[in-house]
Amino acid sequence: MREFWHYFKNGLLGENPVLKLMIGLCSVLAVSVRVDNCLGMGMAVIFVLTCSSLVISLMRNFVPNEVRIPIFIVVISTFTTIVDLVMKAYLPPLSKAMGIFIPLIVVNCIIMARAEAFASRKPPLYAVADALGMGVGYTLVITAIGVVRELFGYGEFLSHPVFPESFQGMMAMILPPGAFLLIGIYIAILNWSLRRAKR
Amino acid sequence: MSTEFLTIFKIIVSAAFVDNIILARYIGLCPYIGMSSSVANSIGMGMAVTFVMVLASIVTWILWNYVLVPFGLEYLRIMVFILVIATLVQLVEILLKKNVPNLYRAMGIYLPLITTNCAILAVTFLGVDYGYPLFQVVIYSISVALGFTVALILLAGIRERLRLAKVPNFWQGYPIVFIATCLLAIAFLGFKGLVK
Amino acid sequence: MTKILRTALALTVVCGVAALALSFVYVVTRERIASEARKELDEALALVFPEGENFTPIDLATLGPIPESKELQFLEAYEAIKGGKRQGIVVKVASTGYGGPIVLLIGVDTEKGTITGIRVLEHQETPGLGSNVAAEPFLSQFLGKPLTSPFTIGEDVQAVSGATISSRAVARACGKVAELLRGERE
Repeated sequence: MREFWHYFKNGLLGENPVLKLMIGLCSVLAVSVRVDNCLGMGMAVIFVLTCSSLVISLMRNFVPNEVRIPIFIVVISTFTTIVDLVMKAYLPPLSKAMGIFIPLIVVNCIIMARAEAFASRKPPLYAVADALGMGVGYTLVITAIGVVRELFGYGEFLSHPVFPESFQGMMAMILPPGAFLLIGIYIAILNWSLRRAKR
Repeated sequence: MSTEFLTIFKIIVSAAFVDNIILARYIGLCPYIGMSSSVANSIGMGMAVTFVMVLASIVTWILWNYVLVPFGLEYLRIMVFILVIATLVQLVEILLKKNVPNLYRAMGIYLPLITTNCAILAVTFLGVDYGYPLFQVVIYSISVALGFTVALILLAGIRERLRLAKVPNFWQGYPIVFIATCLLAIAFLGFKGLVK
Repeated sequence: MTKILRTALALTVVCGVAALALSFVYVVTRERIASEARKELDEALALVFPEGENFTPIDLATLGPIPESKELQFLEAYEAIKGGKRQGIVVKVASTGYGGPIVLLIGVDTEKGTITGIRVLEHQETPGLGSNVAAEPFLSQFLGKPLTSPFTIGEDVQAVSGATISSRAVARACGKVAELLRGERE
């Protein structure tokens, strides 16, 4: 159990997929305009990541080495398609807001990278721990960006107005430049705090 | 003739600049950050992406219109497209290695990275979503790849300069790269409204 | 030889299981996806033509010659029926705005000859500026306007500040729909 937590915690900060490993950036920046989109995207990624890690880890002894990449791809794209269909059926507004970024989960480098580097080598329990940690780490970052962008861009939080009527949204926050700026600042803050913690 | 030409011109400008796949649509960021450390690298990556992107969008367009849609299998799109891309990348790699070793040396090492390049998959989806005919899909994918390469080379140029600059401690590395990207994105916003 | 067999077997099994799982999920969600799409369209139709009891799709060509325009495309048309009688028409058009096509649903009362409602379904306008054309304050200007109005920014319609092109695209769509349905009324 201790090891479970160890692998779980790994993804949260120290090896945070977005801020430290620099993977899975596309959806982070594109979807983070509103907090509810962020949470939806986070859930979708956690689901796909955990399920594929579990399946890949269970299969690790049966899969011949030469065809492991195609098999990973099939597994990941199956779960992505399931998420896509289920979201379209039960959460149509969310699915519309995220558009092409749901199918793009399939090439979200986090999932492929974790499958290759971790899930295909470790027993299922640890693979799930790692996947959950990475998924939650991803969701934390995307939500942290989403909160700031929604607050300053629309003056709202979860679509509820926060500022008085006269507040004019900051366009830059909703547009691409704001996203790039924020993620730059976040990485700098993380670097700073990690280095301080070490000292 | 002239309206046809105009449509194509419109596709080129909007795909390459107005809706630049990296700076306006945030797709393909991983290779953008990963491969932009030098101008030479970014040119190689740009070439490889262009090559695979055009091939992939042709193959997926044919599959989509003649196999998936007639048989009502639209829901298999994600899996079919990503498998096509993965296979294509492998195939291109083997063929290039054997027949055109020079080209292989120039862009071979970038090829394996392309399978998980979301820009390729995104272009195949978008090309189908927009309902372009085959010829326009080819033009579209070339223009997107052009936009990708331009953004990559621009950033690589900036990063080469940044190496000489004095960057505050915690902003070194990725943070400053993102700030530069932010400024590039602001510049590219200027293209909005260019295409009516 | 056994190695090839093993590889092939592994691939086949994985693909088979994946295909089974997917077709299962597809069958389960198919109905629901279709009904959601229908519901969404019905809701939008009811909003632009509140009096209509039900809506049936009709062929655009039956509405008369479609006005030619490079910046405007007529997509679909629906008949709004109340008490078994046609009360009005709802037209779906795409008008070129600042960032791309703005897809609108425009409801027209063919008895009275007025606009009953207008709704933006899809757009790619700049968030915070052009996107305001999809909001109530701008769109409500069109409510109840007779089909004979000019539908021109600065005359009978006020543009969203900072978004003249987007506003013009919406006004143009209304103008062209009015032009089409004016003929229908006579």
